[in-house]
Amino acid sequence: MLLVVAIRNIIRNVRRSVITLVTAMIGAAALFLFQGFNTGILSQYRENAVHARFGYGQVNTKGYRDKIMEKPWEHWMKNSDDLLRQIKKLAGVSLVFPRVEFFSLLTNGSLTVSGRGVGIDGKEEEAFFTTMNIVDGTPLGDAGDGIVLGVGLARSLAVKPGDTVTVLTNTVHGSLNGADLIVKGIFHAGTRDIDDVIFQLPINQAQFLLDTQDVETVSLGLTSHEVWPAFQREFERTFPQLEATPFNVLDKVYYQHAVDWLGSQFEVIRLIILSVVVLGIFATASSAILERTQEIGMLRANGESVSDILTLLAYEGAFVAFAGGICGLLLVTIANFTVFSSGIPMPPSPGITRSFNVFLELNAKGALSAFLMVAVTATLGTLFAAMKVARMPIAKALRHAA
Amino acid sequence: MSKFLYELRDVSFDYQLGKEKVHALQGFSLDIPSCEFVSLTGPSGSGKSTLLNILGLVEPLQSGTFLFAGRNAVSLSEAEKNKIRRFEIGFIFQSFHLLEVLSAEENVTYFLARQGVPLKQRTERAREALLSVGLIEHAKKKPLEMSGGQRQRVAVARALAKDPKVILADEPTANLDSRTGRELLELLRRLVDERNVSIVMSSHEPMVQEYCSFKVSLVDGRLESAGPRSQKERS
Repeated sequence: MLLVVAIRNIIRNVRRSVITLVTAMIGAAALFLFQGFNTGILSQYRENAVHARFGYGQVNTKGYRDKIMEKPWEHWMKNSDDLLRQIKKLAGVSLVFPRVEFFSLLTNGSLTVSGRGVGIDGKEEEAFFTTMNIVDGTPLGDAGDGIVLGVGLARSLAVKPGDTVTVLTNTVHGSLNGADLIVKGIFHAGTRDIDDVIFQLPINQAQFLLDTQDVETVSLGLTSHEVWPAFQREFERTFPQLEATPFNVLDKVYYQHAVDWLGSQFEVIRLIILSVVVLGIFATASSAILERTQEIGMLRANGESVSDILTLLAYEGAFVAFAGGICGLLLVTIANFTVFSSGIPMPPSPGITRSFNVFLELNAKGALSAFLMVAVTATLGTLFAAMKVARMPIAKALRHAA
Repeated sequence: MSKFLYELRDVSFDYQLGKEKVHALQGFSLDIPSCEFVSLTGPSGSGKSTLLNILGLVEPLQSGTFLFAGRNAVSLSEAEKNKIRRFEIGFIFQSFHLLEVLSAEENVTYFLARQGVPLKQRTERAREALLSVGLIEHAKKKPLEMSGGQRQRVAVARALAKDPKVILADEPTANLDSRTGRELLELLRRLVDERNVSIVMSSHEPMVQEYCSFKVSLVDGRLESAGPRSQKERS
């Protein structure tokens, strides 16, 4: 019976109920939208980190990243073909990419700059590392004597696709070695740390320059980033002498810090949105409930307890908040298919030099969280407003001026 | 079991109005018998409404003792008071105080539902109560679709259907014209005679004296007189 009265009271003052509903709707929409936007940005960052540089993670010998400072090549992985086959058999692994990295000098004959070479299997990596953003020429592919340069590095060397660049480095034995490579393409990762320093060359060229057959790193292509924990557990059991590091640790400065920063920002904005919702609904509900003081006095005189009254008013608040919450979620979902269908254009983020489009990533978890938070907050707003009148002495409530 | 519905001893009640203390009830004792139509009379500010609120357990007694149906009402917890108000006391207010979102019948069944009366039984009891106040044909009407007299009769049906020990009525005829007011008093008198319910009613209306069987007169918060009225006095 309380429910019946609560529902009918909602339509008793349509204007106030609509104001409450719209407040809850805006709150839920704002939370859901911002959550989707954040998830979209983080996905983009993740895809960029995974498909431009690291893969979903990388394999090295145990302790290699943290402890090995001198002669790192002495700790590289041997028998790489066997190792790659075994890693590829693990659950969740779809692709494996052997790599070696080294410091070198690059020269075009008149200019010499330093760079960091990454030896890769160009043909294999081409399909996976799709966000390299080649701005001139082509990816490395299976060209045995090709090289792909970061845009800043290419500018420093004043080279373009088709030009020849000489790469000079020390072999693992300490002697100088070099190779002439033809520029196949120029990439623009958007980060100066990469674009001004990194170049890619075929892994066999890199191994020739370093005079080794060993592999420094194996980058991993997984079926999804979500399989990482299961993969890591199996990997550690199978290869106790190796370690696998996920991309968010490898790219801590850009990806993980962005995740943490956006997460904190979201918490603050969520707090602001929920405060606005609770205050808005408190203000509307306060005047509506105050007008019903005599009615509440009558109910209490007839045996309703303070908690009965609060329950009745909480039902009223909750019904409107639930309806508003659902409307808010629908509004954002519709907007995602219409006004935001081409994404939201964003300027370059910190440390990145190119702008990008963010697509909202709306999911059930985000919807449920936004809905519940607004529903609970709005109900609390109503309860705060109801508290004073519900606890008023009955005789005083009955005497209250209508 | 006491023959008195209410037994009050040395009851006092003060209001604080700003810095001034108003002595609404000034230490009097009073016994109100069961199954009587009791009128509380007196000029404005004499303490009628305060006494009615105390009898209805909506205002806590500040000093003195007070038994309701033999139970010490002063020591009751809030939950026990709620229970007594829900099951044993019916209220009729000057301005009706019906739930405007509910029909006449629902206004009655709501409180029966809150008593835990099963659906079928509460519908029967509500219709019976509406029949006894002559409103059965208006059962589905909302309060705003009814006249003042009809609304007050719904309030009577609401109080009556609870099957209470006492119905407390605070100036129930004040917002009604004299003909409708008289009809209401006749109805209340009939309920006392036919259903053995007690009614305690505060009123300024002289015509109330024609119907009540026990009169309590208050002046300035003091008991002026209290006692039964004979049939002769009433007529």
